[in-house]
Amino acid sequence: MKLRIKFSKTGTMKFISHLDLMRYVQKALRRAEIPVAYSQGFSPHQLLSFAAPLGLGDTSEGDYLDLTVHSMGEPEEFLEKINREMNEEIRLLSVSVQEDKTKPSMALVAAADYCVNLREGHGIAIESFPEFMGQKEIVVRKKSKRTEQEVDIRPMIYSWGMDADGFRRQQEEAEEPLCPVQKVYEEGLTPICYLRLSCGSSSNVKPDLVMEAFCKWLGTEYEPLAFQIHRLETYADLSGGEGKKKFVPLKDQCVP
Amino acid sequence: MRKLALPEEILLTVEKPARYLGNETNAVHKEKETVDIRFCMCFPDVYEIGMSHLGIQILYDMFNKREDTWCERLYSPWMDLDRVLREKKIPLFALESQDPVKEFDFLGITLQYEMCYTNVLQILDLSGIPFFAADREEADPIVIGGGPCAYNPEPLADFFDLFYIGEGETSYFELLDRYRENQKAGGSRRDFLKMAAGLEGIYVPQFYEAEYGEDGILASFQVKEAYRGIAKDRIKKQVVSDLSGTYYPEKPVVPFIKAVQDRVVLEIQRGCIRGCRFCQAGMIYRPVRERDLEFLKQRAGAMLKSTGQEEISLSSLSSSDYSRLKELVYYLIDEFGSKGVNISLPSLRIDAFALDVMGKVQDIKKSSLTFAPEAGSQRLRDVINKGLTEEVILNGAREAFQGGWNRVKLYFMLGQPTETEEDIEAIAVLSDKIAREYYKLPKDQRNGKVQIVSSTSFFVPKPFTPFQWVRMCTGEEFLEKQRFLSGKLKEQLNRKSIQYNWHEAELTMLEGVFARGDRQLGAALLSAYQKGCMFDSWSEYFHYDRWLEAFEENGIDPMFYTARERTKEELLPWDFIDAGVTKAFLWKEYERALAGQVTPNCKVQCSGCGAGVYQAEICVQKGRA
Repeated sequence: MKLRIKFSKTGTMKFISHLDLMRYVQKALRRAEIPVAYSQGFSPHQLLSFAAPLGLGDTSEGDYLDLTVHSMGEPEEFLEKINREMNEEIRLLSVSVQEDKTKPSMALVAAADYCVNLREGHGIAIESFPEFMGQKEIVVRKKSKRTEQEVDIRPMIYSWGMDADGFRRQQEEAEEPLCPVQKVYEEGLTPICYLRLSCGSSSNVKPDLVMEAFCKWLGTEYEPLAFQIHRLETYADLSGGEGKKKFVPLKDQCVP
Repeated sequence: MRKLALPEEILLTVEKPARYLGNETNAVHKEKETVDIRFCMCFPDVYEIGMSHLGIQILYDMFNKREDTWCERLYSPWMDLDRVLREKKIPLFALESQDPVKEFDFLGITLQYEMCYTNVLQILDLSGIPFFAADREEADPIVIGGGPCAYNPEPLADFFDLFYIGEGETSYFELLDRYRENQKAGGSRRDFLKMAAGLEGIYVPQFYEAEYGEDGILASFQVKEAYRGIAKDRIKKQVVSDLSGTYYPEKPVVPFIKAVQDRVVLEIQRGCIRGCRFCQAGMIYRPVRERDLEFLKQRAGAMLKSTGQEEISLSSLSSSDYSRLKELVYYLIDEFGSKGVNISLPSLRIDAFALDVMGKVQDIKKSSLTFAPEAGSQRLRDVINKGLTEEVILNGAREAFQGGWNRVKLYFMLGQPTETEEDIEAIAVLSDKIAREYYKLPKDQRNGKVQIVSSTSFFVPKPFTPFQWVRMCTGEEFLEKQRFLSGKLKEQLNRKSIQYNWHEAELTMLEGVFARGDRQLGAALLSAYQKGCMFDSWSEYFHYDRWLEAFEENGIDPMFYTARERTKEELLPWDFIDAGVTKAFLWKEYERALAGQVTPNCKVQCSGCGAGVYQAEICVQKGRA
């Protein structure tokens, strides 16, 4: 059976890279003796994949992984069994059984919500952010492995807000309440804005890129270490690519 | 968030911050107020290497079994963090508590290879502990060294308070008990060192004095007058007689990042019966002791369960000599193979059994066969007492080729005693013969082209081996041998199938200096460190020129330690250590080497090496214990 599991990654675990996190979860599943399904072939591996890699240093309470198992039992016991094998800074939050024909979350992911926090000792003229977002286009130089090109990221910023409530009012489709971010957080952080950004393999905007563009627009120096990025939720788009986007959290049934 | 010693800005700017976090699966956390002794166990190299070391995992587990002790880990901060720590004056910290090393009672440093000596100084420096043991004050940790390089501790004598000679399982608890007693009694650092000097296997270098003749050779080595009756004249190596009744972790620590050994390690035996004359491990870990099969089965299961690792590796100097290897390996395959656990078997002699096992646990297309003939000719293999014959190698290769393998790795050493050009050429010829063996197979049975990788390292004479007296080649001689071999390989029929890898000569020279060094080297070591030498075994950070300057400034001629033949009578810097094998036995073996006589292995016949005093089973059976 195909499972989609929502998880959080906080605290010092933010220093663990995506690849290392995968290895960590693989080992935890083995320790918990979960009946994980394996691929065929000479060196079988666990049928386990992650929705959208989180940047090193970022935290999250809305990440997803897909896992195929032979059996699950009671969902809460199942999650607890795995959580016991991991440190408290990685928590499996919920699990949903997906239809067999559902696409892997890696292929479904279309957007993610982020809270951008300012670290103590840093400042930024955040009151100008609405003006910045009011622009018709926001052109940035985007570097890929080989090329560097100019891209307008404005269309990839689906919605934004200066506080959690304002952010939510923009999202009629959001059924899930936003989690209070500071609760899972370390001290010395001030949330400054919320963003829903395009995420996934076809188009992807990291919150850092938005903040970098904002700083450039402000004419101030961009200091990457000033911001702590926290991911809140990850979405699929059920619109089928036509008309208005219809975002649903990945934990819901996402058969397109 | 867990308290970390390093602020976020640093962790986000250094390479692999997970090296410095601690809190890995199975790491041990205690309340520091509830323990009497805080022990910081250090492997002086980068995290991924240090975390792969079995010895630390054993001692970590053993120390933490004591309620009064909390043992934590420490590895060398990589160059990027090293710079930051110096710049921001952040003291070096242990992983678990993230507390400064200076707050600990003990700093234990394992000495696995000579090229980590500058990193030992880095650890002391960044921890804020004085370099010289004599300068340390009451609040400084007791710095204790162990591991194979402690069998000649003299180049490091100035920097350590104590050395532990031998296997940690036997005397460490007694040492900790004494420490606690002394603490409770309000005794001083010196009081403790005196107590420690009375324990078996413990060497307190400050209590001894070495005098050198005008020729630089050690003239006398003895306990200082003030410590006669307190410190021992000879330090006896510590050995665990029964390996199944002792400590072995069931819950090894699992790193977040990929370590060099990203697997569970099962030590099946200690010591080696073979007696290769160049091999220090084969002599200092004598006598051979096997672990009980049931013990190993139980530990294998427990460790796989507690770590979630997908691979288990059997560890020993010569796995094929473990008497119940077949039972163990087939048990592991049957029990865990179906659960996707991979089994790796290094140091296995290639024969029908090995090929059967390898075929079951590895992908033949991706794996290769490994032979370590160490010398190309039978004559030289007899000199070094390496029992492997050409026939065995060619038969093993043939069977493997028939089984579908087409990759072979060969390991040789250049510069062993009595080596001639014919011996070196024989390396090329043997490599070619193996390739020819492959092409004897009918074409339809071949799996593409054969690939042979022949690697050479340079021979470094080590203490407590029959070659401890011999002259080591100079750098130029090594390079000449390498060029000669390279030329000979190019003359072979299958030259295109043979790849040649070699080691760097300069690093080998340095290893040679420290391997058989004495106390006179301490000052040069410190100079080299102060010139920025660190991570010497990493070629990008190895600065031979700085080393040469450091030797020059301290009046050290490196060739005195390397390219000088010692006489039978010479007092060697490590003679005060009783490693079981006697000097008389080693000299006899040296003479037999020169005569090209092989010595049978311990299972065939006892050679009276001296390690029988440890009453291991094999020695009792052979009647020499």
